[in-house]
Amino acid sequence: MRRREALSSVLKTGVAAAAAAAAGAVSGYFLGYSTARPERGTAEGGERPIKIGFQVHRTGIGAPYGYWYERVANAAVDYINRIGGIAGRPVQLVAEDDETSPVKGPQVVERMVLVHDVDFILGALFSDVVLASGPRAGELKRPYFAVSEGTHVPFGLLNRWCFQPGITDVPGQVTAVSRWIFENLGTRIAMIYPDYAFGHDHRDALTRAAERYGARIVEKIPIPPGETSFTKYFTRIPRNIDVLYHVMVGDVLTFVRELGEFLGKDRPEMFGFVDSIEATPLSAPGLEYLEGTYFWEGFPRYLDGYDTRYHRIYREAVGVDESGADKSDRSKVSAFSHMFGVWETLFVIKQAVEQSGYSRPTREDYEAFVTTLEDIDWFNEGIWHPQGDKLFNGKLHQSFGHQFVSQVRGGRLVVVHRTRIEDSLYTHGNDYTRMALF
Amino acid sequence: MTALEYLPLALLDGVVSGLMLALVALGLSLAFGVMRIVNLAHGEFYMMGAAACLLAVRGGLGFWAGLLAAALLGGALAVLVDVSVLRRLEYGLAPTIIATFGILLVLQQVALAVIGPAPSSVEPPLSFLLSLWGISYSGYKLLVAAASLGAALAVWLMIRSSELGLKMRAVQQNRGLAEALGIDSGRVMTVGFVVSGVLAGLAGAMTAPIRQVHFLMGLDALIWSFLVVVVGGVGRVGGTVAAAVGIGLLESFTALLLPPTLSRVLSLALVLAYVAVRRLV
Repeated sequence: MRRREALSSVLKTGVAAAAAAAAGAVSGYFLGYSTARPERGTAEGGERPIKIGFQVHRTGIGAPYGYWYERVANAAVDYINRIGGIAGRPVQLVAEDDETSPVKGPQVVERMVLVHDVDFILGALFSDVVLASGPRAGELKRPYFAVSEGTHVPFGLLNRWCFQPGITDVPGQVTAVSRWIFENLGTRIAMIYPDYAFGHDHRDALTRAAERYGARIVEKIPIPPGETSFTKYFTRIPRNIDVLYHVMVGDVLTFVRELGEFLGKDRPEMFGFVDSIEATPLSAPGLEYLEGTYFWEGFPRYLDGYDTRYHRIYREAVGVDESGADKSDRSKVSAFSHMFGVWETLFVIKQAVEQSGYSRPTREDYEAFVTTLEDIDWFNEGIWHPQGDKLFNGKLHQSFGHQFVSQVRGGRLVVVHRTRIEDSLYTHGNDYTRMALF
Repeated sequence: MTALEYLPLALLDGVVSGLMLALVALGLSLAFGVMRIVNLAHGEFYMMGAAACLLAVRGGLGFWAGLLAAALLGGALAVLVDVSVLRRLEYGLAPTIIATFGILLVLQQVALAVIGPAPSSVEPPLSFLLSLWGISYSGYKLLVAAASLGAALAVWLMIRSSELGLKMRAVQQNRGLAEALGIDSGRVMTVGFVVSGVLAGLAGAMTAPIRQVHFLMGLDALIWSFLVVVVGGVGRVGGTVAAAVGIGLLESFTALLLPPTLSRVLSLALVLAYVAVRRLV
């Protein structure tokens, strides 16, 4: 407390920079506290908190997700601090906006390490930002945790410092639900997807699954990024298909409305990924056309889709009601299928720190941390992992878990199927453990 | 076979998307084309129009009140920007570009704070499907296309036949001489810029029920508007409309025959080639 008073009086003198630097030299971690949010329930003794840098999409295209990611991160950190922190030490979150930009992303990583000296970095969602930030985290030797669904982590495009334990990836999700699609909706598929990495992950995963289960992808329709009008591309949808598979992130409300105008009532079955309507109420004008169609969900937006004790505790902690909306403003719908990944990732960090005995950002401690995490092969369902248990592949640095298939009925999402973890497994030759850490 | 079957749809959709593009570009055509104000915030005026319409509809005032609110907001923003920024910079090219880019960022963040980061949509004031030649098409879109034509005609008449239009052209061609003849050039610039802002606001509100309302929707609109104004010939309102429809049709037909991204690349390459060739002859 005295330190903070000292700082504020220093600032008042108007020679903040010089004085703060001098003060920092006097009392080692002084500057570390200068940007701190007051910690709650901290451990005694003034021990340095575990600092977790958080690269958050506050602005830019990822903002709808970023808002919820940040909210969940704060809720998880509050919860962790209430139950005694990590290894008895308080946790401090240092959040900075990356503007959902692959240019800004690595700069934020740099600032996290060089300015804030964080122990770990909770990374981004959008694949371009992850792909740009991961290498910088590797160079600066800080563990970087993506909550992205992208394939960059599991497919070996990044490095040994990058992990994705809190959320499943697109190939895992597609592998799991595609079998259900082929068995229940049909085997002649046309797919519409965005023409960049996220869409290509879907295209490749569904193509592989189709080969495996004897289905046919009749037409692939990649949509150029930034497109705002779609009717012209719908002319490529063949008439004799069973299922239209769509993963349109971007202008989804326009997409659905134009699709409705084009296909009308005489339409094939439709299966989409909820990514396109995350943070969007199903009651939005134009989305009525989705009635009766199916969606992948990572974690059901409606509580009754997977009503467990842990799920209720988590939902309460992040302030989301039974329909997936913000408790304090019901017009705000959460990014429920993704944001749990932030919660679970923070608990993975807690578990790995406590098991490895990590205490400071040193070479020995990071070696212990990384190898301990790589040796973990299972996360049990519980408050730490409310979405369900997960298998962790230490070579791929990637988790595999349960997926949900939901149908839009009466303007809400109703879970019709929960996949097993085995359904989502795929093989890949990547092995990060053979990569040098230092 | 499929391509032939969808020919009428491609034609209709090309013309309608072209006219929608023209509606957004019209204000820019006036500000940039006629008055040479390079307003990079034009797309944000358009976005603010859509946001105003969204808020009016959410507030229970209905679409038409939203349309009015959008026009007023577009005009008010234009006055504000003109009086507080552009006039002080004397409409100089480089300072205007930098200043309006700053305004673009400010308006984007204001929208993020007010309407939030998630995309929203507005119920069309009238919703019906027209079935023609075995294809179905949104009636509201056709209405917007017609409104776009009407607005273009009105702007063209204003520039060509009204006193204001005459003064605008005079100020643009020789400001000093225009002032010597008793034209209040500052006022003419302001009025012209306000008309441009109103048009942008109206365009935003009218497209709100077609395209989703989002705080980043302005940038795309800006880029396409500039493209259309340049291709159509700077200072020619008719050219803007023709270019927009031409680009709409080009995109629509190339999409029939080629994979989407390739068709986009090809149509933009053709547009570039056209601009380059036109400069040569």
